[in-house]
Amino acid sequence: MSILSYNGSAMVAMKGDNCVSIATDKRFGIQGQTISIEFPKVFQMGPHLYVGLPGLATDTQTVVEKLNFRKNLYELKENRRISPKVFASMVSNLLYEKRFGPFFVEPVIAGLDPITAEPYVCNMDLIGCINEPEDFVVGGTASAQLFGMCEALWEPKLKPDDLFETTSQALINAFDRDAMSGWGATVYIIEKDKITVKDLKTRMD
Amino acid sequence: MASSERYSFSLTTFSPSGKLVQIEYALAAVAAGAPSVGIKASNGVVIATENKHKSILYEEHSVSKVEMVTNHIGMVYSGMGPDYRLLIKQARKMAQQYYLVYHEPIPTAQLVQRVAAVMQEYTQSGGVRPFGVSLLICGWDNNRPYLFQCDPSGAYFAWKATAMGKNFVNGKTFLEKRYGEELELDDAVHTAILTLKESFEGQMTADNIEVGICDANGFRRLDPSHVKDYLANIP
Amino acid sequence: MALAEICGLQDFDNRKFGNNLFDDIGQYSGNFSHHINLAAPPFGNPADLHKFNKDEAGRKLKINFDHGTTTLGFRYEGGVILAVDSRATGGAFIGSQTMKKIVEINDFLLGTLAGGAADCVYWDRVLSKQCRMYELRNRERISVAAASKLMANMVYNYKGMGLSMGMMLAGWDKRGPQLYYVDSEGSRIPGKVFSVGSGSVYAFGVLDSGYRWDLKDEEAQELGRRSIFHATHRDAYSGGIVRVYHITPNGWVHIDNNDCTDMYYKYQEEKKAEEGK
Repeated sequence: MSILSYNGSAMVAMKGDNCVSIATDKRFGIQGQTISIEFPKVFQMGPHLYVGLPGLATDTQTVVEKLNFRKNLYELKENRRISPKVFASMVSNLLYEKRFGPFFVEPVIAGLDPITAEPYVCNMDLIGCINEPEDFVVGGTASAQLFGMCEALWEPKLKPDDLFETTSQALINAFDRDAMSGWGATVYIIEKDKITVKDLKTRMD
Repeated sequence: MASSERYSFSLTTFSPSGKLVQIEYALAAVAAGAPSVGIKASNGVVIATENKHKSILYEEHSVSKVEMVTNHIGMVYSGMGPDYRLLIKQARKMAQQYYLVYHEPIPTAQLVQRVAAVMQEYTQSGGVRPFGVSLLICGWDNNRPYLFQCDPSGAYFAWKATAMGKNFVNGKTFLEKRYGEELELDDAVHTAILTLKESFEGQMTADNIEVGICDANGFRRLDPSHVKDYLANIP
Repeated sequence: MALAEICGLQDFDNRKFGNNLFDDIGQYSGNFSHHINLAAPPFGNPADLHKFNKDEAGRKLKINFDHGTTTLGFRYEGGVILAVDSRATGGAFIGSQTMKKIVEINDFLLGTLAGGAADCVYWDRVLSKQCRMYELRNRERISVAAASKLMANMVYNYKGMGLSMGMMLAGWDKRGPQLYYVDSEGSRIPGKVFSVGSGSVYAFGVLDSGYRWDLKDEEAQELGRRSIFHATHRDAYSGGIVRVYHITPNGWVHIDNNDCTDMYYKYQEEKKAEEGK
């Protein structure tokens, strides 16, 4: 069994019309045993910037600490907000530093550029290879199912409300076919002047 | 190595009156060096310096003083050439390092800060002396020009226009008279050459001055033929 | 074929292509006429099957059986309760949320299913046939003890060949409510309280703390339901629907099916109401 699927997780981020979404499940388990159903895996890194860290839970926590450290230093040194693109490079760099003994997380990043408000999503593998598609990214043990759901549901120029619905349905229906993830979900809709956070009612088995 | 480090003390130590005389000597070395000027214009920034040779046998344009750090940043100095070479090497390395981590060109202010940190380190470390140079660093990012001066102490300043090296006081006075906010890059190059001419001994040619400009297209050193065109307009 | 005949190889491969279509069918579906006439593996000793679970590179050839399950059964004053979940998984993938893990062998006999789904279903079907044969021959229903012994003996013949099943057989016969645990390793154990599957530890936690011989029918059914529910909540490989069966002196009764999601939010409400008091 892979270390990446030891704890279980499902995560998705999508681009919309002047908005982005990122959503995650809430389970923390040890293989089949569900330990917690309110485990945070998506973190706010700026007013319009979120990072999700699906994978091995202990590394999720370590990596978010390290990212906060580097991001805070950057923002103090340069006296400006970090942009999602630069943040992604920073994450990638951090992960590649551990090329031969990696952190077992596959980050998902979603945000709006602090100046242009351009939507941005990307994900990467556990050693930092960045993937920057035009539509959506997925991660976690339910990623195969999420790919299927997103390919079917996503369309260009979704408004915030539709983006929420699309993201939620994609996530829920994906992790309902994955034993290792689920047990509640949180969806973040990021707009220029509004962040909406909603908890979803999901299956609890 | 370890034992030599243990017994090496900084040569830059305070005098009883609270001065770091080593730094003052370094500034003296700068003030004795070839003059250089920098001027910000509305659509770019120019840096220029004298590059006079003692002998006619010297191969011109073989070693240059105006150097590119990265696409959008350039640098020139007054003071000691060899010290400058070390700083330009470090600056280039820091610019590439920044790009490696953030995948974004280094902001001019960041580069200046980091170069200044290196210069400061040489005022406090054991077994080394301060740099005998002041730098003029020009750049273009955030859709605007930048011009900084970096001193041996590690202090740095942002200028609209400035002069360093021999006769820098005269140069600055000249610039104060000639500078205007809405200056265009072409006029700025002209003014920079005029400022150098103020204290220039002998005939100024395209072979004994160097000019670099930086605008939205990045940084470049003007080639002699181009400099010649500017010189043609100098009375 | 000529060369094969010259070499005397005509009988070498007993799966050779016959000319007669019906022979062919008979060859491959022997178990239609006799249940233990399963197609033999294409090599000498069938018990060596386990040696063939690796490919030429030494990688494990994986057959993902339905290992994740929670099933339980217990005897009490009013009969036997069986309760099961309905999730079928292959690795971490959820193949079905509506699987029937209780097999109705006849009106007085139920079997639960854990382990290899195909193994359980097939042998339950065989058992159901055998029990009916017994009934016709002896003009009375088979006892649960006898039925479970039949089952245990049948699967024992295949011990070590990869069968994977852990089942409970429950029923009501002359001697009252009966409950047996039978597995593919050859165990056959009568008992009062059993739980089988990956979620059994969680189910036992609830079941053992609530179990009494003198439970009322509704209490017993709710205990089974609750035990399975809590197991589905904690165990990733169990879930879907909780099915509850009750065995009474008049045969089995299917009590109800409940979706785990509905149960979760119902229990959550009850908990909130309880805390509010």
